[in-house]
Amino acid sequence: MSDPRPWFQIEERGVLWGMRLVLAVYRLLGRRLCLWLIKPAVLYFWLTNPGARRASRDYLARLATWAPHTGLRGNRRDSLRHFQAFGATMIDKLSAWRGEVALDTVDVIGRDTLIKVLDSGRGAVLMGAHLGNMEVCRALSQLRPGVRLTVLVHTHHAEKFNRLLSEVSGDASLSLIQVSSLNPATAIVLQQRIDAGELVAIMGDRVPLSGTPRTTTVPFLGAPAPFPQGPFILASLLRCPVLSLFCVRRQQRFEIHFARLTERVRLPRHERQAALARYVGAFAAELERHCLGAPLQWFNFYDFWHQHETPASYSVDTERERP
Amino acid sequence: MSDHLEQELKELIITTLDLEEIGSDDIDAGEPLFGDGLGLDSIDALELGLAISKRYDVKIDADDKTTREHFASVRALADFVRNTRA
Repeated sequence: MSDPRPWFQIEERGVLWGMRLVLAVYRLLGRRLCLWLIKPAVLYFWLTNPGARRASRDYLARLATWAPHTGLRGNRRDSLRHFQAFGATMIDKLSAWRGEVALDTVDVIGRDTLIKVLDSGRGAVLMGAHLGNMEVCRALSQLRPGVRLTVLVHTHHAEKFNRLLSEVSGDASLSLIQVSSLNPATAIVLQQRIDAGELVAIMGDRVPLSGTPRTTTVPFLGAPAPFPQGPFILASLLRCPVLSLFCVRRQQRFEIHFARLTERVRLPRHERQAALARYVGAFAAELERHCLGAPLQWFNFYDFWHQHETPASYSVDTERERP
Repeated sequence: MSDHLEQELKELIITTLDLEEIGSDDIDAGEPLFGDGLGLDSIDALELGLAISKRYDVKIDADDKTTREHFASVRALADFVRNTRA
């Protein structure tokens, strides 16, 4: 690669350029070679981002203490494997975009829960996380033709990604919407999609950088961690069922997990904080369970547990905008 | 000036926000909706914004500084809806 920047660094031009390059390699040579090709880039990224590296080791060390059965130690080797897993996810993303993830390589756990929602004709909110690869859900359109998924992202690059996405995939079963703040305009767009029976995926494990984000602190991997309230407030506005959604890779297969979190998010005025704490807590517990099952696939490369105590310590601001 | 639109908005506020304990007569059109007045919060504001933009087909931009003023009271809201629709 002649460009010195790692291709997954979220700089707009870099990402599109890098994605196209990897895509070309992927088309020509396939996943396996692609994986080898990105290894140096991943290593470079790992070496040059001490903040992300520290965060990764901190996360892995927490896992090591909280869940010794994962066999992780939180050392440099684990951390590098963590980063390599992230690189591999990027390639999976491409194949998912290209519609190459066949449904028969995907195990859908909680299929009945999803089918019930799809049959109802009304959409649902899928509360996901930066665990594994949400794009794999695109394979679900093979389960039910016409099912559409909208993924909400914080990134400013949603438009560009959408363009690349349609270049790559040629259909519109998956789209990204950038949401920087909760407002009625966004809610209306999403409500229309829900009413049309679409699925709206929101990441429940990332606190927006801008403004004064509302968070609820709940236990996560053995220590209190702030989770965003926004996704649940949005879900309450949409008045629809909320399912948790986690897509992880297991060797050569993918697993998509659906579970019903609630029929409808209700935040009664007199006990909003308590109600939010219940929803956020239930989600964090689910996320924790799935992190233990796929420990190297949770990709929040910043100090998740103390994110609002030392905002100045984020050396890589853009890091948090990764879609 | 107590008008039809203000009355409609009061009812919309009550049904949207499940304010069962009060009637539309209890809301003074000039009284602040948020904070001290009716005591609504930012989540109510979102709910209300959503309901109003759906019902009256008006665009509410959350980043617009004037939005806060439009939501100050029922009367301000009525003016806003009237001006935006016209």
